[in-house]
Amino acid sequence: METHVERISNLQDIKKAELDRETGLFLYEDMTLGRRFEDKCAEMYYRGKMFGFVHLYNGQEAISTGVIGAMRKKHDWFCSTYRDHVHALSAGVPSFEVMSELFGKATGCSKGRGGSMHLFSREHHLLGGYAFIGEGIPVALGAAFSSKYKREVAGNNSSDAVTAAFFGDGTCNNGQFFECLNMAHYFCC
Amino acid sequence: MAHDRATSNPEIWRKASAFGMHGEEVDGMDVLAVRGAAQRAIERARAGEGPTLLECLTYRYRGHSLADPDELRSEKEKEFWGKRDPIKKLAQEIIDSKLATSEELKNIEKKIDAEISESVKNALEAPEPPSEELTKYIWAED
Repeated sequence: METHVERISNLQDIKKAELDRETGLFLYEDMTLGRRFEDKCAEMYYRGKMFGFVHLYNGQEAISTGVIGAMRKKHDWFCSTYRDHVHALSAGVPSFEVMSELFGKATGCSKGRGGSMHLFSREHHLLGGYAFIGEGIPVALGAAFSSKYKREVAGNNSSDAVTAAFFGDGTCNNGQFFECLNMAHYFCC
Repeated sequence: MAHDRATSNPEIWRKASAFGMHGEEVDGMDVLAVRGAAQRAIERARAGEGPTLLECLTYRYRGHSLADPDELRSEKEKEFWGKRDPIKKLAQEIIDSKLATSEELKNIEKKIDAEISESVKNALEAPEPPSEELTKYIWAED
């Protein structure tokens, strides 16, 4: 069995997205925002400005930027995990609202009630960070089903929103992951 | 825990095939590779052609949370993934393709740092939720 290091070393080249100036600068800015924001979180956490657990995204920015950056803002839907700050930023939630939420302030995207693991934004179609693993996947499945239902049953042809659910490797041993894979394909195809 | 110590088959993308779903693995440290795979998945989904399980091979540079001293992963492993920093990789590609200069990229970093400092300052000064609103937002109000 290949290790994680061997797998990425032996990965076959797949067709990558095209790189032009505009795309390159957009991707660079979004990834840099994610990295610098998380570094600042660590600083503020150690200065005692945040409470509870804080999970940072350093190293994984290409995923938030690569996926959310290819989707339509305020149209498509996103479900995150407890490692949710950078997904919120990529989805367009202003850094002030995310940082406010981490400080438990009323100006936070969850009105200061959520904190680090429960970022939410109706405006930016972020259907939540979730403290437990796998919780976001069934919510994402419901959002995806509602797009399909609106289009095929309610007759709204403009309903074409796509939903992305983010989760980590540990979640893939969780029952909700398999149940949702089953339903996602069964409802759709 | 390392995924190969926790699962019967660490190739997650293959688990899609049990349900007849499309699965793909991609270099999660390469934003153009992830974007390419995401564009294909989104196009299929928007056309009603079904979901995709996308496995992005990646690595977390810090501990699980800020309470984790991150002493259990090997230095060799950290060094391997450290060389694959997705931001440095994209910066190099942009500069090599002459799409922008390193000066321009530095200016983006400065702009971001200024924005984040401003957000921190304003968030620190922002009000706490008033205690009389403790139960607000528990139920839908509109």
